[in-house]
Amino acid sequence: MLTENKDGYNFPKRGDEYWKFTKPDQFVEISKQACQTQFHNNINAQSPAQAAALYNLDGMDKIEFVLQPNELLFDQSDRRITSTLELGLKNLYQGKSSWIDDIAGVIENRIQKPIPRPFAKYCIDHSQIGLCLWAKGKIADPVILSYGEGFAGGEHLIHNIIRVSSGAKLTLVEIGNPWSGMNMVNEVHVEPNGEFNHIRIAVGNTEAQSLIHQYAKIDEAASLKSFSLFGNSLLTRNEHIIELLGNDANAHVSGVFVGSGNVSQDDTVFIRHEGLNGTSRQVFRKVLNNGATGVFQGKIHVNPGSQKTDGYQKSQALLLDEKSQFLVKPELEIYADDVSCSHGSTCGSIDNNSLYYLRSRGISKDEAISMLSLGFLKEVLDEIESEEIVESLGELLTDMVNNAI
Amino acid sequence: MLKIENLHAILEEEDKPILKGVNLKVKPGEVHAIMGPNGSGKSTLSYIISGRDGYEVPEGSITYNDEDILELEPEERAAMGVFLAFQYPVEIPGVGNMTFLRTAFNAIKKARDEEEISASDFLKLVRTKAKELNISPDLLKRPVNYGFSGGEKKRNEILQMAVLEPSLCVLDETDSGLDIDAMKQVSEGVNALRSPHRAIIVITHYQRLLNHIQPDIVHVMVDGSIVQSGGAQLALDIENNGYSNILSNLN
Repeated sequence: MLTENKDGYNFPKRGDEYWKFTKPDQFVEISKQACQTQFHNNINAQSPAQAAALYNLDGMDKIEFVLQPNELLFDQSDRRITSTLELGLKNLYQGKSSWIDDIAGVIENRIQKPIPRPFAKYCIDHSQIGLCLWAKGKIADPVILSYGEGFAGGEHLIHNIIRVSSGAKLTLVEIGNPWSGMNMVNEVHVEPNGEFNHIRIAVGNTEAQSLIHQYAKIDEAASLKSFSLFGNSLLTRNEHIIELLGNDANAHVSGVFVGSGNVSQDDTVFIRHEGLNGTSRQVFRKVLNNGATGVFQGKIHVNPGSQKTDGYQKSQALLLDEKSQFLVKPELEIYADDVSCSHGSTCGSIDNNSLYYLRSRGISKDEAISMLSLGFLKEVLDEIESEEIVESLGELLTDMVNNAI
Repeated sequence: MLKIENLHAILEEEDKPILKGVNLKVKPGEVHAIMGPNGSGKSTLSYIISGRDGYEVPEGSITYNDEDILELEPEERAAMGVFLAFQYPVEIPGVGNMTFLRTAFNAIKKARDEEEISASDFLKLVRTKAKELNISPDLLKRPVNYGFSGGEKKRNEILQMAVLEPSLCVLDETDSGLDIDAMKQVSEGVNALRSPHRAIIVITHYQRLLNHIQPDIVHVMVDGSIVQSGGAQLALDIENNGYSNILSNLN
C-alpha cells in the first residue's frame, strides 16, 4: 500500500554483502506480491496441538495483548499503566513528548552505520501499528504479545518500542504466524542492571514473506536474552543487531528453525561489544528437509578497548535430505587484544550409528529421525531463561519436527 | 530358536569379505560364548544378526523362530525379540534416557499389537528394574549415554535389556573397558536375565567374563567362520594357551 514511498530508501540489491543468500528484491516488491498472497496454510496444516501450545502456553500466568493489522481488540489489548509496567499502542504515544522519544528511531539510527538497514528505516518511517512497553520494575509474569491470524494481502509495518529500566526485569513472548508482507522492528533499550528476556514463536505454515528486526542497546551490567522459534513459512529474515554499550553487559541470541519444502529462513545477527567484560552468545540450530534453505550470518564485533570480551557463536544444521542447504557466514571482527571469541559452524546429516542404535531397540526409522532431530534442537532451548516456557515448547517442537519429516 | 547357516557377509564400503560361512544353532535357555582373535568377525556377526546397514550377505541364512530375518529392518527384529548390547553404546545428546526407553518399549508393544504403557506405569517399571540391577536412577534422567562412564554405558545396555525383555540377547564385548567390580555387576545383571525362554550369546576376548557368566557352549571364530566349539573348558584352554594351538591346527 505504500509502494510509492519506497523510492529513495536505497534498498539492498542481490549480491550486497549481507544479502548474498537471501534475495532482497522479494521484500522490495513485497506489497505487490503480498496483495496476491492469501493465507493458504497449504504447506502443512497447523495441528491442534500447535495451536494449543501457541495460545495457551499451558495455563501460564501472563499479561496478554493482541495486535491485529486493521483493528484493535480493545477488550484484550487496552492500554495499561501500573507501578511496574506501562503498555500501550504506539499511536497513543505518537506526537506527544514521552519516554518513547529516546528510543523510537534513535536506536535504529545508531545501527545504520556502517551497514545501512533501509528496510528497518522504511518500517519505522511508515509503521502503522506497534506496541510500547516499559518495564519499570521486576515483572514476574511474561507479557504475551500475540499477532492476530488469518490476514491476507497488504504490507504490515509493525514498530514495537521496549524499555527496561534500571534494575527492572521483563519477559516478552511474541507469538503468531508471520503475516504476509510483515516488516517489523523492535527497538529495545535495556538500562543498567536491567534484564530483558525475549521469546518469539512464529511457527505457522504459511506462504508469508516476512522481515523481522530486533535492534537493542544494552547498558552496564544489563542483559538481553532472545530466543526465536521459526516454522515453515515461505521466507523469513530475522535480523538482530545488539550493541553492548556498558561494561559487563551480556547478550544471548539463539534460535531454532524447522523447515521442509520450498521455504527459507535467514538469521542475521550482529553483536557489537563497546564496553569492558562483555559476554555474548549466538546459538542457532536448524533442521532442514525436502529442499529447505537455512541461512545464518553472524558477527561478533569487538571495539578497540573492549578488553576481556567473551564472545561465542555457533550455528549448526541437520540436513535430512540432499536438496536442503545451509548457507553460513560466521564472522569475527576484533580490534581489542585481550579477548576470547570463538565461532563455529557445522552441518551434517543424521548420524547413522545413532539411527541404528535407536532402531535396534525397536524404534521405527521415521521416529528415530524425529527423536534425533528433536534432540539436536532441544539443546538450544537451554538458552531460554524460563523453564516454564521451555516446557510449553516441547510438544510444539515435536509436532513441528514430525510435520517436517 | 536361532539358526545361522553358511553365513557370508561383505563390508560394502571396502568390498571386503568378513564372514565366510558361519554356522551356529542356539536353543532357548542356552548361553553361547563366541571368542576369537581381533578381526575374526565376531562383532560383524552381531551386526548382521541385529540388522545393521552397510553389509551385503551374498550367501547363507539367519532364521529366528523359524522366520528368515535377513530382509527385516532392525526395528522389526527388535520386535521379534532380538537385542544387541553394543560394544560402544552410542551417545545421543538431547534425547532423554527415559524417553528413549519408553519410546522403544511402546514401539515394540505396538509392533506386537500389545497395549502400550502409560508414562507413569512405565516409570514404575523402569525404577523397579533399575533397583533390581543396582543401577542409579540418575542414569534415567540424563541424555542417552551422554557423558556416561564406560561402566555406566554398559549398565545402561543391561537396563535396556531388562526393560525390553528380549528373547535373544547378543552381548558384544560387554566386558571391554570395565574394571573388575563393574564387570561383576554387569554380569550379575546378565545372569538375572537368564531364563529357559531366553538365549544369550556372549562375544568376548577374555575368559574372565565367562567366570561370571557361565556359558553352555563356547565357539572359537577365526577369519570369518567358527572353527571350533566345545564346553566351558575350551575357554579356559584359550586363556592358558592363547589362540596359537587352534591357529596352528587350522594351518
